[in-house]
Amino acid sequence: MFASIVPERWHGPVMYVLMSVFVAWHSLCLIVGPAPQGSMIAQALRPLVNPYLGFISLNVKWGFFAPVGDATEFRYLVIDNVGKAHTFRPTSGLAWYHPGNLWTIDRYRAIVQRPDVYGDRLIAEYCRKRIALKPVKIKLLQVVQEKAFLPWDHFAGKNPLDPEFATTETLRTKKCSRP
Amino acid sequence: MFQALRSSLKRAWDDVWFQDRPTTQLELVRIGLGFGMLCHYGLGSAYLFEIWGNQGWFPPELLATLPADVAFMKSPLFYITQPWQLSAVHFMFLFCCAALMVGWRTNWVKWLVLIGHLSYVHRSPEVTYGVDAILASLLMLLCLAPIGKAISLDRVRALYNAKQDNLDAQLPVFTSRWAFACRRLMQLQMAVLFFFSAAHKLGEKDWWQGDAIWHVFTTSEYYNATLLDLFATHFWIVNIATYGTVLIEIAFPFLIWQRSTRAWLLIGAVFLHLLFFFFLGLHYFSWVMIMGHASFLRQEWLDSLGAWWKRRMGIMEMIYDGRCTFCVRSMAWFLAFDNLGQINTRDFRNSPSRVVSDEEMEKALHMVSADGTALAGFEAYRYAVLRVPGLWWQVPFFYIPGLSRLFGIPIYNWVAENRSKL
Repeated sequence: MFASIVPERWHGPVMYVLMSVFVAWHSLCLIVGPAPQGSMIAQALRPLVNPYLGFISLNVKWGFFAPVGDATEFRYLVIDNVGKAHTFRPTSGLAWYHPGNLWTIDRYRAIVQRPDVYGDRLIAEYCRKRIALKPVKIKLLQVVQEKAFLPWDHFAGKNPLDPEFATTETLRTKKCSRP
Repeated sequence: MFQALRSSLKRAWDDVWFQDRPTTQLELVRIGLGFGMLCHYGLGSAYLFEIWGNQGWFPPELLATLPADVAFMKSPLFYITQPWQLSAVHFMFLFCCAALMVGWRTNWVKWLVLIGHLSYVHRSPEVTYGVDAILASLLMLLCLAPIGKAISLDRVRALYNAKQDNLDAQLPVFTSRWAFACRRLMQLQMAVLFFFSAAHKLGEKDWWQGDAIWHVFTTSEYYNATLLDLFATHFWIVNIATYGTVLIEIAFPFLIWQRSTRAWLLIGAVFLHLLFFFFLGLHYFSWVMIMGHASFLRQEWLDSLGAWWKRRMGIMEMIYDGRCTFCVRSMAWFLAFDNLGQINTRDFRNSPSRVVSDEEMEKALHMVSADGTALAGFEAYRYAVLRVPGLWWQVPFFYIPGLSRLFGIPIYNWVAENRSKL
C-alpha cells in the first residue's frame, strides 16, 4: 500500500523521515512519562503522550524502592459461632522461590489498597474456606509497621510486625451468610 | 552554510540513530526475553484461572468499579468466558514465547507475543509491576525491528536452503539502520529507567542516610533473618550496598555511552541485578533487566568472543559422502547451525582425506578434530555438538550418561546403512 501511494524514488527519503519522527516521538515519551508531576513542561506534554504510554503500559514512574516502605502484612480474623477469634496470615511463610509468591503478595496488596472493591468477595471466599470453624463474621486486617526497626531490635529477637512496632487496622468486616 | 549545517546535523543524527549494524544484540534480547516470558507465564499456568480468569481473583465486574485514577485498558481476555478457551489462549501464547526464543517465524510471532503480554497486563493490572512495563517497551521495539535474521531458526532455514545446492554457501550478515535505531531506543529506555530510579531514591531519607537496604530486608516481602543477622553485626555492608546502588543507578545513564566506561557500568548493572535475583527473589525482573542491558553489548566484544571460542575449539573437518543426497541434506542442516564457521567440509568422493580411508568413509561420516583425531558417526556428531554454540540445544540428546550412546550409536548405524533409501 505504501509502495502504491508513494513513488518509488521517494521511498527512501519518506521512510527516513518516518523513522526519524518515530524515534523522536518515542524518545520524548520515554522521558516525559516518568517526569515529576511538578514539571510544567511534562504536564503540558502529558495529554499528548499519555494515550501512547497507556497503550504500551509505559506510564510508570520507575520509583523502585523509593520509598522503601514499612513492613506490612495482610491477615484475616475468623470469628466462630462461640465468639472465638482465629487469625490467619495468608502471606506468611511464602517461600521466595515459590512461583506464586509474587502474584499472591500482589493480590493481597491489591486487597489492602482497595478493600471496598475486593473485600466482600474475599470474605465470602473465606467464609466458604473456613466453614469447618463455623464462621459468623470475618475481619480483614492490615498490620502496619509504625516504629523503626533497628539492628538492636533484631538482636533482641523481635520482628518488625510485633505489637510494639506495628498497629493493626481493620480493613473490612462482614458477616458470613448462612449456608 | 545552511547546506553544510544541514549535512552536519544529518550526519550527527545518523551517527546517533541510524548506523548500519548487525542485529546481534537485538537477537540476544529476543532470546532472553522469550526465555524469561516462557518461564514466567509457564509458571503462571498453575494460577491461570485465579489471576486471569473471569471467576478468579479479579473478576471483570470488580475491575469495572476501580477508581478513575487507576487507568487500565480493555483486554481481549475479558471476552474469554470459558476455561478451555483461556487454557487454549494461554498455551498458544506460551508456544509463541518459545517460538520467539528460538526465532521461528519471528516476523509474526513477535507481534503475538506483544499482544499476548499486553493482554495479560491489562486483564489483571493489580498483579503487574515495573517489569511488565519494561518488558512491554522492549517487546514493542523488538516488534518494530527486523529481528529473526541471526541466531534464529529463521536464519537456519534460510542457510539450509542455500547450502542444499552448495555446502560452502554463506548468507551475508544482515545489517539494518532501522534495527540500530530500535536498539538505540532500547538503550535510551534503560538509561531513562536508571536515571529516574536514582532520582526517586535521592528524594528519600533512607537512601541519603545509607540504611535503605536494611529497611528493604525488614519488610514482609523481602524479610530475611539471615541477612539481617549479618547486617546487624556489620552495618557497613548496608551503607556500602545503599550508596553503591544509588551510585550505579545515577552513573549509568551518563557513563554507559562512553567507550571507556561502558563495560564497567554494564558489569555494575548486571551485578546489581544479580543481587536482586538472589537476595530479593526478583528473578523475572532481574532477568528482563539483564536482557535489556544486552542492547549495550558492543559488536566488537561479541566478535572477539566468537573468535576466541573458535580459536579455543579449533577448526573441525566433517568428511561426508557427496553422492548421498541424504548425507548432503544432513550436512546442510548441521552446518546451518554453525554460525561461527567452526566446521569445514570435505566430500571424500572428490577430495579424499589423508586421515580417513575411503573404506571407512563408506561406512560412516567422520570428523577430524583440530588435533588430528578422527571420530566416526555418532561420536563425530557428539564431539561437534558440544563445541559449536549453535548446536548446544542437541547436547541433552548426546550426553545423557549411558543412554545417549546406547540408543544413539545403533540409530546412527541404521541411518548410515540405509542412507541411500532416505
